[in-house]
Amino acid sequence: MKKTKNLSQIVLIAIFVLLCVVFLVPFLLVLSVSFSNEIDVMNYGYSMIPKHFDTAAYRYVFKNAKTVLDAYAVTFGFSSLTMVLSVLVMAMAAYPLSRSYLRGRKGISFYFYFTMLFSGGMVPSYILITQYLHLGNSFWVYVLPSLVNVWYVFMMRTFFSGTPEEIYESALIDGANEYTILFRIVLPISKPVIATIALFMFLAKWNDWMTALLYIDNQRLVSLQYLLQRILKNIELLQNMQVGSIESQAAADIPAETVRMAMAIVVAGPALIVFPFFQKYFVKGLTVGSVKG
Amino acid sequence: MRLNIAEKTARVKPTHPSTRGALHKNQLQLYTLLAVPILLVFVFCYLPMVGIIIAFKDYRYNTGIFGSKWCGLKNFEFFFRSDDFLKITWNTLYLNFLFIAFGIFFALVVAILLYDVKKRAAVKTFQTVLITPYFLSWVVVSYMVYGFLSPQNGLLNSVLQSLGMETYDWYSKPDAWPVILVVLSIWKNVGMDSVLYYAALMSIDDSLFEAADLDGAGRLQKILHITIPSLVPIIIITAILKIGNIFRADFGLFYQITRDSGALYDVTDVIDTYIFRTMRTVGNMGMSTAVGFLQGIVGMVMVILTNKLSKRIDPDAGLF
Amino acid sequence: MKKKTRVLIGALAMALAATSLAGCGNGGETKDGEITSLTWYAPGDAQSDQAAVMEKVNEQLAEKIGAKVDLIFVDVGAFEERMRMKMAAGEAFDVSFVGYCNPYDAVVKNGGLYPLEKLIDEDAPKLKESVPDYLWQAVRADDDIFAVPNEQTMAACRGAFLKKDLVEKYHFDTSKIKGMDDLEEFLALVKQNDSDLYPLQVKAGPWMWADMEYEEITSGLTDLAIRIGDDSLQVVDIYETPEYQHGLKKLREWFEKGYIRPDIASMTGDTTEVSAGKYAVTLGTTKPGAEAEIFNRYGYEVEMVEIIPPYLKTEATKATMTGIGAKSKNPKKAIELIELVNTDKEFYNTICFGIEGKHYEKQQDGKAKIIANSGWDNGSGAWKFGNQFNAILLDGQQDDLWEATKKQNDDAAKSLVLGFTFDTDPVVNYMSQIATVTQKYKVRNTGAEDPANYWDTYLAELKTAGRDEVKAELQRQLDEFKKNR
Repeated sequence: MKKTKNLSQIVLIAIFVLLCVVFLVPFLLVLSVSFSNEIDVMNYGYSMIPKHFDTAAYRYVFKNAKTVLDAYAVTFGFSSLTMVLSVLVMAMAAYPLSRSYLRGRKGISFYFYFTMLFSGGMVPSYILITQYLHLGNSFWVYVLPSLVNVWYVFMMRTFFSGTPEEIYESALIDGANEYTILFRIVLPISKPVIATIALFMFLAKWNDWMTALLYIDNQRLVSLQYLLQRILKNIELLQNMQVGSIESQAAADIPAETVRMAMAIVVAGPALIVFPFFQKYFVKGLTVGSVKG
Repeated sequence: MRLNIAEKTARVKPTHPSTRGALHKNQLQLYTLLAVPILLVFVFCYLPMVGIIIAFKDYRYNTGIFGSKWCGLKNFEFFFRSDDFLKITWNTLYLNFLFIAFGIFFALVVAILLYDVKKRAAVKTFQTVLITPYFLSWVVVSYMVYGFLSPQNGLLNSVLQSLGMETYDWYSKPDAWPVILVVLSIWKNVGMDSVLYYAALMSIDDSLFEAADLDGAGRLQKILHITIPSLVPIIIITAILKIGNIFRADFGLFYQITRDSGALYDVTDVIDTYIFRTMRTVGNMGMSTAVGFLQGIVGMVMVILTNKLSKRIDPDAGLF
Repeated sequence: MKKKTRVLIGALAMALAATSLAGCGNGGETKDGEITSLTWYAPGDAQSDQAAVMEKVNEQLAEKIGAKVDLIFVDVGAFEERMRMKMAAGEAFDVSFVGYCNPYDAVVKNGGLYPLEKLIDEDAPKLKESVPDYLWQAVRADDDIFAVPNEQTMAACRGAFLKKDLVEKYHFDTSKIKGMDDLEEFLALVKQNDSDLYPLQVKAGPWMWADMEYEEITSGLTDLAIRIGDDSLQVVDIYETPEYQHGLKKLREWFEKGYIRPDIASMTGDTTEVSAGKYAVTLGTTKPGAEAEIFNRYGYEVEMVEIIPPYLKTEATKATMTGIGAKSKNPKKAIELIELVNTDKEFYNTICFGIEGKHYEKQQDGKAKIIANSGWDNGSGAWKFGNQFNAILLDGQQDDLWEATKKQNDDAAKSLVLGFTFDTDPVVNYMSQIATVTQKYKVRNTGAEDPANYWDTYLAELKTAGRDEVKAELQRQLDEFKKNR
């Protein structure tokens, strides 16, 4: 018995190691190219080990180190704030929707869902945010509009309704109100899903560049992805130009291939470091018995 | 044994007589909780929806949303009158369907296998590695894919050549592209998607597995009779939400990875890339809003249908 | 738990309060005698020493026209999107760059700019005088003028750049190059002796063959054009012209001989190759100072050969302009500002180059040397703000650079359709279909495939897509234009 278990574990781990190679190779390739010499890349194509180690791409990305560091700080700030607030707000929506006795449950669900299908486009949002809410050029424009992600509200709702009813029943009998149930019982036993959704929110905000594109003039408030998109756009402009045209004068000299890869590393690196922090919540939730006891 | 488990997984309804009265009192508390999210959604999603009328207007900047002239369905015309309409609609639906089906399947497989790995450290490492592609933008991926598929120095053609086979001009022959796109879509998203299912597995009651062990159930039996059934609600909800967006395509995937190669349009041109091209040539805001509106309508129809269907499978699993 | 909700509500309230504070301070109209505040959007990256330069700029501005300006840079890649949003939302900005990254025709059509003709006539006589009449003519739209052209190199010659070291190595006489065909001998030499180079750079599109004396009317939309100098304004399809047909055949021949890179069909960008000097011959726009520009940027020398003489296209006059927002509250002051930046050298050069001694230094020969990393550098982009011919000469630029450029503009053959814009509304449903077909075949027209294999299907598909309808509509509008000219 023990032997077969060990064997199956070995097979399982072998499968995953193989899978990981498939997933990791491209990432390592990106890493390698980002440290390669631009001319080498052009002459010999991509390779897993840089022919000549070269940090030109990173030097280009970090040309204005302070700007990049500012962007890191801003991005980290709004990503974590949005993560915390949004998980809270979304739980406040998901929990009532998971209760079968909530009156008007279907209607309210539809109210939320409808916004996933239809939107008025960017112009009305832009008018609302800049002219009525005066959020233009402010830190909060990164946070407030993205607090409710309907997709995740429904995910959470599904998880909450999957929790055994006995838990709620016994709490209600003990005289607990809904707030207590949500914050004292539901959230603690839903740690895995809360961590998952928090992670998703964090990463979604970490990759946010549209907000800065539309709303931020202040250079100290731009997000990391936007800053990097800007470099990418410059490369693109450069590629479509003709010698002697206006565009060609506007574009700078950029080690295009390697910068692109360096940018990917600059964005992904910190996010990958953050991931294990969330993983520690992916542990078995409390069982029914332990709540009762 | 089967009966045993089925009984345990069956959801318990709140039938306790003494809680019935208390539940009414609780309505107010639940609505209080809902107030903030409802308000936020109203402000940031519903208020801007007035903009949908742009789809029916000849929008001019200086006259604004309300001041611009109505123009009936003119903004929709370009989409329907186009000969490409059927082709791009089919491509969008067909490829998105493949993404959804294969995407969910592989994410499930990964999550279930990962759940069986006993070493915590190994689980953590595998998960971290599997999500790395998520961080690579399609632009970066497109350059790597080019490294593989480039007709001249591409790895794949070099391999074909060394095997004595004929090389293939990947960017001008559309046949292989549905497969390439599906593989890439899975590769990029499977790690993140499986995190969700993995989290769902965490909330399965261990006593179910213990009971199954006592009954002498095998691994496959446990997966089929405990794991999968307890994941059904989350699978259904994911599927419904994705189907609502089946008319919208992942622009980066279709535009960057194919390098916007015209020769591949027969299989890779989708609604979003087509609109992008329209906007670049003659675009006005009315036209893009009109198409967004259409995508919403189709999404709504699809969702109402799937919602009905899923309620047949599991009465509690629907979206609304 | 209650504490938590309270914290949450508190946080939200704080957020709202903070934002309403941050949003204040949008200046409105000011009274006479006071300093008027203007906002000005220009493409470019924000620069670290902007405060110092703006102080100087505003000092001059207060003294000269009683205004101050808040110059806001939006990076080039985002400029179009950002300005589109601002205009679409009816935001009240005053001055903005219009041109290649904020297209004039589209912006005017959508009603994003303030009509200027009356303002210029009444409030800016010096400005009116400083811009040549043919340019005023060129930028007319909707029977008015919506932006002031910033003069720079506008009349383009098409030509080829040959790498100088190769020209010398083969003792090649570039003066005998009169057309594309004459390049063949040089390409053959390169192919034979320099196997690490690609002989010819080709960019897919209607202008891949330089011998095309046509002016594209609907640039980037279709490939309809008129022949340069054809006063009857007869619309032709570039692809069906004998020159293009010849070019197509020739490129195919050259592709087979290996003069064109073999992966041309799937190549999307070749910046790296250009900067590494991998092409023996590149095609492009020739102009005074182009050789120096290439040398400064890429570090290799080229010899410039003119193939098509200077010609002023309507489109080229609209690449760099300055306009006033449709909702501006101070259009009169704004036009004064535009007049000043175009006619007052001191003011213009301060905004472009900053403060002497701090951001640039005057050399002994009178030319300016930009101080590296000084925090203000619009060096080669002086056309962002106004008439580039007023810019001080930079180190390495030829003495008569601006005179020569202006002469090239003034002497060039002028487009016969200056001031004509194609109104696509009547044929809008065909445009994206045509774009789809064009994109589908674009890369094949680089020699990568034998045209005999697909040419007939291509033309048939174009026809189905509605090319003939668009052509007829364009001809109709041009005939109308001709009548009213």
